[in-house]
Amino acid sequence: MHLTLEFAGGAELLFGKQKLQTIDLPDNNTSWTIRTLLIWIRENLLRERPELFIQGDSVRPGILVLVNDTDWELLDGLNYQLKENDNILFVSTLHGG
Amino acid sequence: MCQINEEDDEAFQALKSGTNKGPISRKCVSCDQDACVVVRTADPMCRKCFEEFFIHKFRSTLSKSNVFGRGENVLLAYSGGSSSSALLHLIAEGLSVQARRRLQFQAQVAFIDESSLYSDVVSVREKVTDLITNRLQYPLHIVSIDDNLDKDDDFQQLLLERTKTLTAREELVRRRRLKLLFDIAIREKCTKLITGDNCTKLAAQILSDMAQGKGAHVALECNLTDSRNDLVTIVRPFREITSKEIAMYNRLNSIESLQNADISTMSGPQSSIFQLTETLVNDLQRQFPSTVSTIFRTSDKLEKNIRPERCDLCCCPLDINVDESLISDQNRQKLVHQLFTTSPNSNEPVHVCYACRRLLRDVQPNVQSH
Ligand SMILES: [Zn+2]
Ligand SMILES: [Zn+2]
Repeated sequence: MHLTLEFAGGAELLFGKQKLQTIDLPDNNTSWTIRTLLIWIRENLLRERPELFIQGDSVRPGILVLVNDTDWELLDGLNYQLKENDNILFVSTLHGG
Repeated sequence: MCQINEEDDEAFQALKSGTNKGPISRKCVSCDQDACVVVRTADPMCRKCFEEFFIHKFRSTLSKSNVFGRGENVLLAYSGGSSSSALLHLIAEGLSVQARRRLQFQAQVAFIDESSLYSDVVSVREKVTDLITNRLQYPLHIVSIDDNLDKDDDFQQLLLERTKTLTAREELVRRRRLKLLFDIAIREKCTKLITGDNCTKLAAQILSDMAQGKGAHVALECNLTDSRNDLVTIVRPFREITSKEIAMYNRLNSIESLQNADISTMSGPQSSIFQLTETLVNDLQRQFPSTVSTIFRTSDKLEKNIRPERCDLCCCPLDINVDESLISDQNRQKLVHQLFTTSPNSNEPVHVCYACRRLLRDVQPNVQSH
């Protein structure tokens, strides 16, 4: 599944200062959700300081998640089922990123 | 928080999500269109209503301050971060000829360049100049955080080698930044200083200030108008707007922040008192969306017992009596003059508040060895 990931507000500092990445998730038998995407990000993109991005099975509080420019709170949050070509934006609202 | 095994307890989870968050409707509370953002405690809003709500909150807070005279010179503190980028955007719109209720003041912009303090950070001066001078055409004043300091009192060296904790480092930078902003405002005859402090940041700062003995000043530090300086009044038009609302507004309007790093970047959630309280506030806010406003209302109610004299570090009214506030150590006195007063060689006595007195204990003054 093809997705666009965006990192802003300082979150990009945890991903080699890259603000935009396109990724292809392997085809699973089960569908991908934000929850499983976060595990994939942690294992594949986030090399250092995971605690600055992930807390428990979610993002660190203070990091806003938008799916196609819509607040993930409106879309079931972690349980949102990803669709082909979705754009997922992670914005840190924390000081200093 | 006090439940045992609450993570595993599905019933509890269901109960919590049912009562605390509720099933959020996907329709805008104002117009019934599809919502794109959840604001306040649990209000879904569409893009159009959200932007109206956001601009209205900004403009009504600004008019509540009711302080801007026609043609008054106003200095905008721009850091390049998301809050002040949004602030700049809103003020530029409000000053433009097409604005509905046009703002009547004259804007100038100050940028304190802190890039010399951290390795690995490129200065964004050129981008700032391009935005402010070329595109918005406001007078721009760029001052480096170590401006006016000679080699003997290198600010970076002071912070990295002679300051004990990240907390003390953050607090010194915060005080010096404000001092420089006041200096620019006074020099440019600006009588107001507008900052982009939002309520999420201010709530974290209230808790952090209290933990550092600055309780007497928290009401002032987060007030809409702050008159600690007789010549320049600080105005905080974002004090009722959350960091999430700002992030959303910036995204919808393609407003890019130019600088997201600061002295605490990558230091982790437990590295300083402010980092801890910021993490705490955001953590609480996720579970209990009224946290931030509750902290705010509490701080407004705090009794303060303060004096007319001001602290030489944070510029707030002194909260201890004159004998207690006097710095007797010569080296520390000199340090304060170098970093915080306009007359670096002065021998005038230095008075600081309780919190700044504690802060100075974590800074080793330069014992001249040459
Ligand atoms: Zn609407
Ligand atoms: Zn003070």
